[in-house]
Amino acid sequence: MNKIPGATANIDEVALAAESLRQIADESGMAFEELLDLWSSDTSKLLARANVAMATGNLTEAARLVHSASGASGICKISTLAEELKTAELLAKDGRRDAATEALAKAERRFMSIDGALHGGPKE
Amino acid sequence: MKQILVIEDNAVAANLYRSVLSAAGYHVDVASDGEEGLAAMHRCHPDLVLLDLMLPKIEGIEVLRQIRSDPALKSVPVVVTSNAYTSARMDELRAAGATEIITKAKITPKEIARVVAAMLNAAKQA
Repeated sequence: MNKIPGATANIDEVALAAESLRQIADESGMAFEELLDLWSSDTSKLLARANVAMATGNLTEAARLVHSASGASGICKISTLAEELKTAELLAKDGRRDAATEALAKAERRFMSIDGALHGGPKE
Repeated sequence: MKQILVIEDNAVAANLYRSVLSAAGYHVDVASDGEEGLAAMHRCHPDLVLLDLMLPKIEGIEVLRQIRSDPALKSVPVVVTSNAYTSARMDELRAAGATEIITKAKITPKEIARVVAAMLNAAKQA
């Protein structure tokens, strides 16, 4: 498997995410960069807020925010990330805070890895 | 020009729908929570609503129920979009008056535009 140094996502997965974003952007009449920046900033904000909600024990709000992030990746067909976020959402809905926090951290690492690669290199 | 109201809190989905529906020739308004969505229904009298299910302030299903109980709004086609369906939830949405139910992750924005066109066509013929 081709791995990006220090990253969670592999090169094939990043290429697939780029292709999916490009296809959805083309179909929708948006510029690729516009959609990439929108997905990136929206997901980043939602995950930051979900982490705060999780840390303060507001699992209902955390689940809602992670659901929204999962939906954004799902609609852009970035499926592995969308599924990992869905897992975190369901764990939060079940009230399993530790497992949900762990699942969210895993998904966040994948997001940063894909996002960093799409923006020109893995983010530290 | 037909008017579409998108009630959607996710910025990515809202922008994609706005872009693809505008390109298809519709006037598109966006509301980012249930409360704002209901206010927009009365303000802009849309020909069709794209309604997300998990919304801040007022849940999507409650928005749908309020639309269907309002004589001025009840005939407007409502396409529910979400990723959070169980069969019980689908039944609940149909009972509440959803015209069509779509799983966001399984459909592209371009296909959404096709669904909207079909729903508007069906509403015109009804």
